[in-house]
Amino acid sequence: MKDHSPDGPMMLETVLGMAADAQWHDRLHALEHEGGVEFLSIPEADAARKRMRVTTDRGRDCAIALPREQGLSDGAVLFHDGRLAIVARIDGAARMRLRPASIDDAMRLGHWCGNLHWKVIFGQGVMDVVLDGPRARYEARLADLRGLAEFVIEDA
Amino acid sequence: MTAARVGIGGPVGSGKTALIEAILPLLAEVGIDTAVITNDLVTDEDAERLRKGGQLAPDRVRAVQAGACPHTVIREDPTLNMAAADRLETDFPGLDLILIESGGDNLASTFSPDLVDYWMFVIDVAGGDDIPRKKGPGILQANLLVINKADLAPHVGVDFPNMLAEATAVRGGGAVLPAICRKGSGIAEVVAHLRREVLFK
Repeated sequence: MKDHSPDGPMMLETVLGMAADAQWHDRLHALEHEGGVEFLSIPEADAARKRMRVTTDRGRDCAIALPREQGLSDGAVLFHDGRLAIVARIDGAARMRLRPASIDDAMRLGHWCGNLHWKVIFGQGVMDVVLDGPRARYEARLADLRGLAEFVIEDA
Repeated sequence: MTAARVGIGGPVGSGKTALIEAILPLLAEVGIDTAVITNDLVTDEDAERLRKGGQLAPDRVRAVQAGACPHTVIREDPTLNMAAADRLETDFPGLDLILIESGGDNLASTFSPDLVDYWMFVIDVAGGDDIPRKKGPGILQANLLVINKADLAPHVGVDFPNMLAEATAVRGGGAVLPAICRKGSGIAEVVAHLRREVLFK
């Protein structure tokens, strides 16, 4: 961990642990009572990045620069010096659930969404599209598929 | 710190290689140790151009041949580029920055966050002032949009301030910088932006 000058961002260069782990939970809990825990809110779409400039919920300017082998996940502890801790919170992205009526429809739907390079998560008989923008923009892209495949759009 | 990996995407002829050529001297001036990976379809054209430019030692410019649609090797399966970046970091310890130039692609081209920490999309005025309004994923999702060849606006019937305003609007206020890479205009601003947002030095 580098020292940070008043002019530069606070450098956060490693994941020290996870807030939910027992050893960190107790340390953070104690600090939280003293107002010593700050949170970084990171959109899910950015969580795969190793570097980013972000501001904590108390306005502290930070720069994350993680090693390639480390990744950001919800609850990652990025700084702790006994007086201050900084924890990453990953904001879950909105999702749109697609339920095809048959296997034929599922193939059409899967091919269509693949062509659009959408990020999806497969479930039992459904496919959840991870939304990186307004839902209406995604629904508009499905309009032309309506005559080719039968499916319903649900809230994920 | 490991080297920052910064992607540069955009349509054919928009000025991706010219932007690299323009920013390399400014990066060198402030001591940012840089290497470049280029992506071309089936040749090493862009890598050869940068090597001939002489701003970097030839071995600091590596070429990846995409073979097919250029976006596949920066988004769907970026392993070739990740391996090239890993090799550069091994060969040049202390590297601060690896620029990864995509092959010229369309407005749907985006970089995988598995490959880059930050990415720019370069469009140019001569491509038409309607490009931002088309809201391609490259325009909307890039961390920084660079609009190059600003000086050509009067010659191609483009209202440049309006094009800039429309680009900023469709990106919801996301960063947009004008540039004339061939003349060095706007380049200092691009470098300052990269230093603040991803290089941290």
